[in-house]
Amino acid sequence: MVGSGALEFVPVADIELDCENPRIRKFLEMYPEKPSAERIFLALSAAGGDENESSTTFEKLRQSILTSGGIIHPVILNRRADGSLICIEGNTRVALYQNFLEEKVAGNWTRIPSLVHDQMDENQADAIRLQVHLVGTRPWDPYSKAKYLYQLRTQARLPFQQIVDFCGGRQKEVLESINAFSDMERHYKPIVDEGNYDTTRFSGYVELQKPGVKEAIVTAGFDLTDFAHWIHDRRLYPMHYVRQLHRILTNPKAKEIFLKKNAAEAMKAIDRPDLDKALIDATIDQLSQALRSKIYALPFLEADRLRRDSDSDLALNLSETLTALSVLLGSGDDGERLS
Amino acid sequence: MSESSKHAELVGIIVEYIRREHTHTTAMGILDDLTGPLRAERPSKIGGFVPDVHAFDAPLTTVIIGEAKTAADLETEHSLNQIKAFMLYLSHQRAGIFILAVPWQVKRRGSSLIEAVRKDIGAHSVRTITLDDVGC
Repeated sequence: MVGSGALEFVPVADIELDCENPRIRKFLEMYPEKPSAERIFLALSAAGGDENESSTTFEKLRQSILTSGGIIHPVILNRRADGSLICIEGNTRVALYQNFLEEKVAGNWTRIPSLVHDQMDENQADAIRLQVHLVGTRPWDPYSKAKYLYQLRTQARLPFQQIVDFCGGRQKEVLESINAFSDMERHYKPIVDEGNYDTTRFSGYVELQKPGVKEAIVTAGFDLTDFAHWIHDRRLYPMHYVRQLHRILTNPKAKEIFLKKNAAEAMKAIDRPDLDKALIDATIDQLSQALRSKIYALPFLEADRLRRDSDSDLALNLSETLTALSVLLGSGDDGERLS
Repeated sequence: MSESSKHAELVGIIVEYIRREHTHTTAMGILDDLTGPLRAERPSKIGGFVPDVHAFDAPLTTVIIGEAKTAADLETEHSLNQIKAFMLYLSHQRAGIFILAVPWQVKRRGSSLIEAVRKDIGAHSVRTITLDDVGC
């Protein structure tokens, strides 16, 4: 049984980072000697839950701590028999405090709020790590997050930039979230009966914020109330079809099918490149291996260009493929199922 | 001064102008396409072009697109298509503002150009501002 520990404000200089931390062990195992604090810091900044997102997450946490002037959740420490303190949970936060101190970042980084356990054994430490990282807290769904951000902006009147800083500094994400909530409240709410307000449709409103989507709707002679009906009637389903609206609405045949049936049927009418026989006959396994090889062989500059240009046809096709794969493997959104 | 340094200077002028004139009242987010750190946020493509500056509030009220042009590239076909695409996008916003920053020698030409585009595509709701590298 793990106790809750005693809350203390511990000098960060007295805390030893845990080089056995599963998040960074894979990096540190490459070096035979005991890793320095600097190497642990580098490993923490490189590691993350997802290879592509790791640096962003580290940077988000850094930005959020700087904006808040400290951490909200205390880190968890173990006081060993000799009195030394090792960090069981919150290594990145401790490392950031130590880094802020070293780089003389303005603020009070000398002591960090900590829950200190006395002589915890390895089983108890594992229980804490498992609860924090494998079970974790229940994350808010995207709609609830957006609603909270919207309220902070419109009712608490927090400046946009401040909200962005609290959230870790990604302006486009915050903007899309707030605007998606605003559009959904304004256009979707009035057309659904009370009790039928389906918050899982929120992702459709996030897609609506991508550049060019609203313009495509208005240019084709529709408005956001029409869009709300399309979402409600499942004419736009799965939600990633929202990104294809400009292609559908500018193609007369596809537009006609979309208005009569749905986006999935309409997309079939849009010209697709001719696939040669070998590609058509290939199995999913062969195609997935070929796709992986192509991706790994992609030059850095080309990959970087693709990441920046999320509206390109290739990016849209890849995004569509990713959604289909997530659904196939059972890791997609609850609201998205292969029909 | 090289073309690229001049361009960067003009982008900086747009960002400063937005900070001065709009940030206090609406606390806008500002994204610019100047060389920044790796993974820094940059403006998204709009109508096939990436603007030099994209500023916005949330929920969306004011949207600002800023474009910097040196004398050499002000009147090229590419610039014209870019400005048209940005104006069209702004015309669909509740309060769209287009800012053009140019060297002082071509400020009048710049103003005439964006005014002509605005009329041409019927983007009457879009407010236009021309800045220069001397008096802003």
